[in-house]
Amino acid sequence: MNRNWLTGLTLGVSLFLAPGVQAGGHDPLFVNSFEIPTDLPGNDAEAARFLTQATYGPTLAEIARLRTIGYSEWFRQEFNKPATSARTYMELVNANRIADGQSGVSHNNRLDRWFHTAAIGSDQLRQRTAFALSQILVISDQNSTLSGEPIQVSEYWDILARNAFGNYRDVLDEVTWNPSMGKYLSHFRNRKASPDGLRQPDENYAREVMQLFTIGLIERNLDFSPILSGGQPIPTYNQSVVTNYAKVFTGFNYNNATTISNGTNTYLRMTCIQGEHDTTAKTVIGGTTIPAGQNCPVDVDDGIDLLFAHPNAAPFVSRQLIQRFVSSSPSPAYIQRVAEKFEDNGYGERGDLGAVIMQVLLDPEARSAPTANSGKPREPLLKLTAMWRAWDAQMPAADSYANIAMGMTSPTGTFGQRPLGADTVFNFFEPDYQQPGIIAVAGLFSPEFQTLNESTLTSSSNSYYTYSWNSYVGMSSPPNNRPLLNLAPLVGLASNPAAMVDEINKRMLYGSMSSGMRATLLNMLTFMDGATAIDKARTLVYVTALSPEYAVQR
Amino acid sequence: MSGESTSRRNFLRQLSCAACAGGVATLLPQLNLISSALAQTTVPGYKALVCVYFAGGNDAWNVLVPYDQARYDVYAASRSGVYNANSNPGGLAIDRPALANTQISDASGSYALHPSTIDRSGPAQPGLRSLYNQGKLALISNIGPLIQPITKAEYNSTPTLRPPQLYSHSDQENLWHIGRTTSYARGWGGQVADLVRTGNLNQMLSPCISIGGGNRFEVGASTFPYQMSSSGLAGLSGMTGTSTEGAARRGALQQLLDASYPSPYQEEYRSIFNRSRDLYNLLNSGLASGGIGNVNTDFPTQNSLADQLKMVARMIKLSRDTSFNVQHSRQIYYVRIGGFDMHDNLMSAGTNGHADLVRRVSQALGAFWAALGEIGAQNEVTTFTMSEFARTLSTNGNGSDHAWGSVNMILGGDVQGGRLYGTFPDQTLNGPVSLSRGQFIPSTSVDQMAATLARWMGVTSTSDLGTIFPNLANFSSSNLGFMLH
Repeated sequence: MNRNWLTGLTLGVSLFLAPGVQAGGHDPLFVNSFEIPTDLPGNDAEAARFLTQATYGPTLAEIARLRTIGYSEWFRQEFNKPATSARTYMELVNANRIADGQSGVSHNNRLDRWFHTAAIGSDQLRQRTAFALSQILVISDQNSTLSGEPIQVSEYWDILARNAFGNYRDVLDEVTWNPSMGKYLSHFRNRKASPDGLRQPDENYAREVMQLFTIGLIERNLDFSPILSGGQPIPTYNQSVVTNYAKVFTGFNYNNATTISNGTNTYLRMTCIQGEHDTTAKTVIGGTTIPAGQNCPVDVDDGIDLLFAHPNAAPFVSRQLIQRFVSSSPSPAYIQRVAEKFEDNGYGERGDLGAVIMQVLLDPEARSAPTANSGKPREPLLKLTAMWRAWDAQMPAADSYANIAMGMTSPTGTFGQRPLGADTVFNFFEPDYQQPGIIAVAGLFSPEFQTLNESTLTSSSNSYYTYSWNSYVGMSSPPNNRPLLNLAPLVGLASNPAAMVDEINKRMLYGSMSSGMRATLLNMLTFMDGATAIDKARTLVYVTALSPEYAVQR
Repeated sequence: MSGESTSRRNFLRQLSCAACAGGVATLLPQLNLISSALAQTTVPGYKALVCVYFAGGNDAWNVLVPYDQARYDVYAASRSGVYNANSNPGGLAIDRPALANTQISDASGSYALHPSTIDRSGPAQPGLRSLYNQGKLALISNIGPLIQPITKAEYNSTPTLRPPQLYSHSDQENLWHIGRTTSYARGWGGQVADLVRTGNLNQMLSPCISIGGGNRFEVGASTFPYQMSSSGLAGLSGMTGTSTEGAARRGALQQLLDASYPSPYQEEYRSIFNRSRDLYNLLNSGLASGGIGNVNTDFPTQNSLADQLKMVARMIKLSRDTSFNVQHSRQIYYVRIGGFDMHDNLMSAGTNGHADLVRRVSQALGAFWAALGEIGAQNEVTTFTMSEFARTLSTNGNGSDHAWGSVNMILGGDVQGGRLYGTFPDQTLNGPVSLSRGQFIPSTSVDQMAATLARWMGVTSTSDLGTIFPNLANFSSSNLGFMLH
C-alpha cells in the first residue's frame, strides 16, 4: 500500500492556512483531497462524537489523546497498530483445555474474545473496521459446516482485521481463498461439471461474491443512485454470469490437499486442485471472457479483478461502510466523496481501505453538526461496548485456561446480533431496509431497525440492566464472568446532581444531551434524594442506556 | 426532546401512577358479546392465517415425489440416482422402497411424501402424510413467482417476461411476501389485514403477529407486525415494583419516551419502546403461567418451528377469548424456520440434512394441528407454507442449488385437502417445463395461492384483489379452490 501521503502528514508541513485559524502545535492540513479545516477536535464533545463513530465507544483517556494529537496523527497511529488476534488466543485456550483433559474451545470462547477486544483492545479503529467488513463479507457460525470450527472462524476475523486498512482487492483475495468462506458459501471442494453434465458446479459463492461482496444487483452511479435505462434499473449480471463464475470457483480444497477429497482441516489459505478446476472459457461480468486453459489461481484472479474493477464496487462498498460507522442515510454527495477515495486514494491506488475509512470519518457530513435526518440507530452490541468503555470497565480475571468470560455468548436472541454469527449471508440487517412508518415516508434507510422490535428492544434493555445495575466495581459478591463498570467518578459527584448528569452527558452522550433529558434526569435524582450514591449512579447509567438519545448516534 | 416542558409536577404525576407503565391497556373495557344463557366464549367468525416460511429454498421435489415406477425413474435419473453415502454420495433421489410408508394418491397419479412425514411417536400426533390422508392437507404443485404464464420458449426468447432476479434468495423471498413482481414496500398479508381488521376489538394489538422475526409479508398501509418471541414476553428490568427508586426510574423513562425528538430515528425508537411496554402489560396476564393463553398439547423439543407454533396457538386462544381484552376476529401469524439452503449435505441423515428438517416441520405442524384441536380452532385457522424457491433436481456433487417452481402445503380444517392442486411437472432435465438443471417454470403463481387465501379471509371483491395482486388478472383463475368456504 502506498503510504506516501501519510508520511507527508507527519512532517507537520502546512501548505495552506485557513483564515482565522490560530497558530499552535497543529496547523490545518490540505493534503491531496483530504481537506481538514482543522485537525484538532474543538472540544471534548467533538472528540467523543468522533470516537463514538470510529471506535467501540469513547473513553476519557482516548478523548484526551485525540484532542492532543489531532485526527491525522490519530489515524496514523491507528493504522500502525497491529491487529489484536482472536485466533492465537483461541489456540492458546484450546491447548490449555485439551492439556487438562477438557473439551476444546467453542464459539463461546470466540465471543468472549470478541467482547474483550471490543471493550479494551488498543486497535479500536482496526477492530471496528473488521466488524464492518464482517457485515459485508459475511460468514456465520450458524452454518453447520462452521459451527464446530471456532478456531478457523476466528482466523477469518483476524484476516479482516489485518487487512482493514489494506486494499479491498486483497481482502477479496483472502476471503475467496479462505476455507471458512469456502465452506460457508460452498465453493470448498467445488468440482467442475461431470462429463454427463448431471453434476454442475455449485453457484453459491459465484452469486454472493457479486450480489453482496462487490457490485450488487443493479448498475449504480458513483453516488449510489441507480443508472436507469428507459426508466428501469439495469441488472449488473444475469444467470449466465453466475453459472460461469461458478466454473471459476472450482477445485478449492484444504491447504495441503493433493486431491479434491483429502487434506487437513486448517484455517490456512486453500489450495486449488487443477484437475477439478474448470478450464473452459468462461464469459463473466461485462461480457468479458476468461480464456480457456488457464490454471485455477489465474482464473480466480481474473474473475475477481473484473468485479473489483467494476464501476459499482466503489459506491457499493463505500455506502455500506458509511452506514456502519456514521449514517444510515448518507447523502449522494457523501457517498460519492467516499467512493471517489475508493477509486483513487490520491496516489492512483484503487481500493485503499485506509483512505476510504478516513474519508468516511472526516467527511464534512460526518464532522459537521447533525441535521434532523443524519446519524443512525446504534447497533445494540455497540451500545453495550460503549457503556463498558465509558465507565472504564474492569475486565474479569482469566480462568485457569486463560479464557476471559465476558458474560454473554449467545447475543443473537438478546441483541439480534452475533459477530460472524448472522442467520443468513445477508447479515443481521440489510443496507436497504427502510422501517415502515415515518422513516420510510421520509425516504430514509434504517438497517438496524430490521432487528429492533418489541422483543429485542426489551431483551437488550434487560441486558444493559444486567451489565450496569448488576455489574459494578465495589458491589457485594461481584460476578466473575463479566466486566464491572467503574462508577466511582459518578459516585464521587453524588452530592451534586447537576455534575452527575454532566458526567453522564460527557461519557455516554458526547455532550449532546438535550435540555429536556437533562431536566428529566435531574428531576429523577431529586425524587430519589434518599437513595445511596451508588444507586443514583447506576440508575443514571441504566436509564441513559435505554434513552432515545443514547439509542441513536448523531 | 422538546424544550423545558418537563416540570416537577408532571414528573410527580407520572410517578403516582405506579401501575401505569404504559397505561392505555388498562382503559379498555371488558366486552360481553352475548349476555344470554348461550353466551359464547370465543369471538364468533374468527379466522386466522399462519404463514410458515422456509428460509433458504426448500428442496420441495424431495417432499413430494412421484411414486409410479415410470415417473419415479425419471425423478431418480434427474437427481443423479438414489443417494448412497458410499456408492453414490452425489445422488439426491430418495430410494423408492423408503417411500412406501408415506404414499399418497391424487387424481393425477400416485405419489409419496418424504419419509420424514410419518406420524410422531410418543404423543399421538399426525405427521403431514396422515394429515393429507385425512383431507386436511393440500399440496400445490409447481408454484412460484410469475409475472404471467410463461412457456419455456418464451422464457428463453424474452427475458423481460421472467420475474426479476430469479434464483436470488432475498429477491425471490421478497416476491413471495409482496405478491407482485414490481418493487413494493407492503406485503400481501399486511394489505389483507388492512381490509379485514376492522372487526378486531383491540386495535392497539396489530392483527399481524410475528413469532418469526421481521418480515415484509405482514406490513400493510395501516398494519405493522407485532413481534414476539417464542418464549413469550419479558418485562423491563428495574422498572416494576413500588419502591421509590423503581418509581423514579419508571417516571424518568416514561418522560423520555413521551418527549418528541428531532430525529426520525429517535422518534421511531421511542415508538417501538412505548408499544413494547403497552402490549407487555396487555398480553402478559394472558401468557403468564395459569393464564388464559396456555395450551396443554405436547410440542416437540429442540424444534424452533414447534416453539414458534406453540406460541401461535397460545396467542390464538388468548385472542379469541371474549373474557380477555384482545378479541380479534381476523389475525395473520408469521413463523419462520431456516436451514433449507442445502448446497451441501442435502441427503445427510444427520441434523444437517434435509430429512431431519422435514421431520421437524412435520412434527411441529402435527403438534400445532393437535393444539388447534385442543382449543377448538382447527376449522378457523389455515396454515400455509412459502419458500423463496425450490432447488435444482440435478446435483452439484452433494447438494442442490437454487431453482424456481416449488411445492407448497396448505393445512386446515376448512381446507379441501387430500389432493394436489396445480400441475405435477415432467421431471426430465431440460424438459418441456424445466431448464437444464431441473428448475421448473411454475404452472401456478404465488398470486393465485395468495388470492385464494385472501378470499377466505374475507377479501372477495375483484377490485380489492386486483389492488393487492396486480398480476392476478394475467392468470386463468384467481381461486385455486383449495378452501371449502
